[in-house]
Amino acid sequence: MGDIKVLDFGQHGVVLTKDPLHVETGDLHQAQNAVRSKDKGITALESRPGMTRVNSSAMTGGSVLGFTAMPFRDPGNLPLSIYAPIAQVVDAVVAVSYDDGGTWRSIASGSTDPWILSGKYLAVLGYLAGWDIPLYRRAVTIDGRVVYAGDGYTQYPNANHVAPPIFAFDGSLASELGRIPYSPAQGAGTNAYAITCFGFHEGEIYVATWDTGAGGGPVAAGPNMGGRVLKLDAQTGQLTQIGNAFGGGAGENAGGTPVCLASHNGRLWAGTYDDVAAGTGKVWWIRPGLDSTWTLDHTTAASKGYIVDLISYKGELFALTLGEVGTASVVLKRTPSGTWSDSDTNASTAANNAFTSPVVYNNELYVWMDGGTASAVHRIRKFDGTSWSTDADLNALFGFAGSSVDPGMALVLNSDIFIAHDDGVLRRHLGTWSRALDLAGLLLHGELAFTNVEYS
Amino acid sequence: MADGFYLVQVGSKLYRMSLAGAATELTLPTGISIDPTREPVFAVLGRHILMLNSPNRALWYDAEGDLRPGAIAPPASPPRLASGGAGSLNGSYRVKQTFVVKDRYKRVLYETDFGPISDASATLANNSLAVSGAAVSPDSAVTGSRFYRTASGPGAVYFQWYDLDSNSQTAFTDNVTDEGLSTLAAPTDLGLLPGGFPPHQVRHATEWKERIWINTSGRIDTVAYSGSRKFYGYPSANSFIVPPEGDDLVGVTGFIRRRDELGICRQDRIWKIVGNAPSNFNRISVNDGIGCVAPRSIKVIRDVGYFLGGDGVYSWGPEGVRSISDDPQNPQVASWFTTDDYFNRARFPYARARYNRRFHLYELLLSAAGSSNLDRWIGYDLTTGIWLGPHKTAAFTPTCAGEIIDSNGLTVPVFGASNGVIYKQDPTTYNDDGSAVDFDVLWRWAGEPDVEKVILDPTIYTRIETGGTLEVTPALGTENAAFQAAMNRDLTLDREVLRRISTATVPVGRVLTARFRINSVGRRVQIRGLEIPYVSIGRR
Repeated sequence: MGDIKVLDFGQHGVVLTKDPLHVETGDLHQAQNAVRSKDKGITALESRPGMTRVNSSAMTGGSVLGFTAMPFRDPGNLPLSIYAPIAQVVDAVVAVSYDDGGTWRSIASGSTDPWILSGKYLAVLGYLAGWDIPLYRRAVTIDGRVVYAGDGYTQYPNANHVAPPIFAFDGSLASELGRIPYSPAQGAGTNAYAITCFGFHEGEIYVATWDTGAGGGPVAAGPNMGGRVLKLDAQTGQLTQIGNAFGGGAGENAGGTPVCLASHNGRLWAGTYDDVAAGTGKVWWIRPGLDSTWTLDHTTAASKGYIVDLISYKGELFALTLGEVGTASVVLKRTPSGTWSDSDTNASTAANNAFTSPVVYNNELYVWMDGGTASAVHRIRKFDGTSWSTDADLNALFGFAGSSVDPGMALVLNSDIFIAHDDGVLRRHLGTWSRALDLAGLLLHGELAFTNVEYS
Repeated sequence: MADGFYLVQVGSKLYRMSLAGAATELTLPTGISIDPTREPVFAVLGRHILMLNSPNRALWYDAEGDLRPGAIAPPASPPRLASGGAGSLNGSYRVKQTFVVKDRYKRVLYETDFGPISDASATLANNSLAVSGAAVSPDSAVTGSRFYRTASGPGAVYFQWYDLDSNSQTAFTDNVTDEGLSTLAAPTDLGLLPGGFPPHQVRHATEWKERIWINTSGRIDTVAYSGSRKFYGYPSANSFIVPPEGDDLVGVTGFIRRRDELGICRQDRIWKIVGNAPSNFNRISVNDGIGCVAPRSIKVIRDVGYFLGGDGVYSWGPEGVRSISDDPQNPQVASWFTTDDYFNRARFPYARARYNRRFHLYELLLSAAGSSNLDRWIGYDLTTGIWLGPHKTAAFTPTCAGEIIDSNGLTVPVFGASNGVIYKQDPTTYNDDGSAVDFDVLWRWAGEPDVEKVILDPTIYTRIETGGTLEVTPALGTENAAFQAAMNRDLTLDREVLRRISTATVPVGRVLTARFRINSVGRRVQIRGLEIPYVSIGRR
């Protein structure tokens, strides 16, 4: 009597090359939907696992014919948040995620909310008291982090002054990235007063500083205030001065400190503010890594010339200005051939009338025409490359007349335009302007600045 | 885990699908359509994805989520030069132009080949240089142009000079001196993607050594490669003939991307490229007589390439090319590939492969005999060297195969299906989307093959399950004996003795065949062993 012992069932798999008379006990003739067991220590053959849907809803259009072999990070699917700082006094940041339908959520230090900022958010407004010019580009977003000018420092020339810090916020935690080195032009023992703006050029972050007034001291004393532009390594925090300094010294760029930056036609451009009555603004350019000095490209006409902002649009550079009382500010346009001209003119000549908040949206350039102190002029103007038109009368919509509205940064998110101002945030959705956030009554130092950050 | 996505072609549509399976149809750029009869070929370099073969024009999906043409024509006309007024330049100059695509941070994502070189400018004398008549790209994806200029002479070397951030402006003036030009000469690794425009397509593509390697329908015997880390630049000098040129109508049939060797297959031959740069890339013959007939059957697993040849499955590794379906030392399943009894061999060129990481299997999706669908797959166990299959499913018709990383971060094998769904292997279930997994195994034993035997009561050892019945159907006699009535083995037991196999009708036999099958929703089986007593009667 014999005994067929098959303790290696299926362990040879399918074997079709042997005569049926010569097969071994571990051979199979067919092994449909069978796999070797993965159970530890077990030598067995078992049913293969089942299959479930990756996409519960079928994709329409036919058969799945192929797909990429590895996943990619999905920039289009990450929740994007707009961070709008209120003021360093209350030390809070208001943020909204537009994945949840536009809810604004407070972020306050000291709470258990996971969106705690370890340091105060955008600041320095108080140190710029006396400045007429709006500054709202003191934060940028790169690679999922907000890089911004921090507030936690003692300003030069106060006792125990330190360098202004730069922070990076990843959506949950803020950490110091670096500090502005002192300006060699001002000498060791000094420190920069403030960061005036950030900008991008060819994937790199650049930051402009205000270093000192003529004769020193924190109060602006133009026209030759000291300033610099530095390149920031967003990973290491290293700062490197680009070109020569701005100021009144030998070899420096006279006539104002940089307050806005833009990348245009392969060059980094800076607009300046000189803080003198009937002052002018200047527009400079440099090719980082190639040029050792800035090249002056334009000087504005007196009294309508502080440069508020710069933006590149359809191969032309636009400089937005602030006008003195009695003089209308303008939007200046520079053609690729280097010709500057007035492109749009403010309807107001009130004190602090200005153009601000430029943004390119749907292939058109939008700006805010701010009529200034106690003016009824608050309009959104847009340029299609040929002519200007009014997109919205904000005074008619929101009753801004007589108010100091202080418009700030504009950005495009989810096909809408958002513009910050001192009372909140406006939104243009499907051609209609509305208040996306109303902060009336909160104590503010002035402008808001905000940007969007993506996080995982 | 951070969210991610896959690009998926479904018919003539392109979707972005998250790891969790949420899919959004993407809008194709104007003028680009996808052929639903062609499968896509994806090549990835950096964070840029090229989609080739099925679109009528190459598609490019970048890290910012923008979908653009993957091949953009260079400027078609030269710019004109003139004096721009007072300036610092002296002498004569030449200029050439490229189109660029920049992101919102003004980084160059794409640069076309150069357009025609301008005529030499008039001799300047303390002037700036004015450019007019610059070409404008018909592609709206283009954000501007980059201009390169010689030094005064004009010299022969071009240097990066000026960027014009507009695809509508055609003129500018600049006064940068020769000393102020970039010290870097103009790039030499630009060039239009071959096959990026109709009527030809890129048929095969892969990334290797930080370059994209391609083969096109226009030059079937040639392989071209891009500049280093430039998915968009294909200098004409970057190419290899894959001999024998003109030998057949198919040409190159695929790439085997191993760590330090890039295999290039023809139907009956394999070449490889070694080296690290154009200066030392070298083409070497690997094998003459064995090649790949199915481009999508190629899968590299732990630096060994597996592929379907004309008569079986082969591997290419450190030991060279060898058969794994008909190994002389361990021949197994040659007849799967050399007869028409199991698979439709005419459909071999459409075979698709995937790696099953859980079981360490090379799996190949094929068509059953008489079928034109990819409705069967087989698996080669890379640990033991055995074959299992053919497998099938009743839940859907597979149309492609591959692997994805799911929302849990696990690499899982998947099938794409004709119903627009992607299915993944799921060890927590015993069903295919609600359909039973039809486990069906055929086993034989002859012992002393010339001796008649009485087969007694078999004992079958299985894992204890919560329920279900395994059908055991014996056949006793010759190798072609008819099957008897099935016996039911209760799977809630770890062992069970079944009825005697020899019957009054079939009392003896020389060969025992047994079929083990379970085909019930929610049921599975693990067969650990058999024990079957028998009595030898003798020769008759």
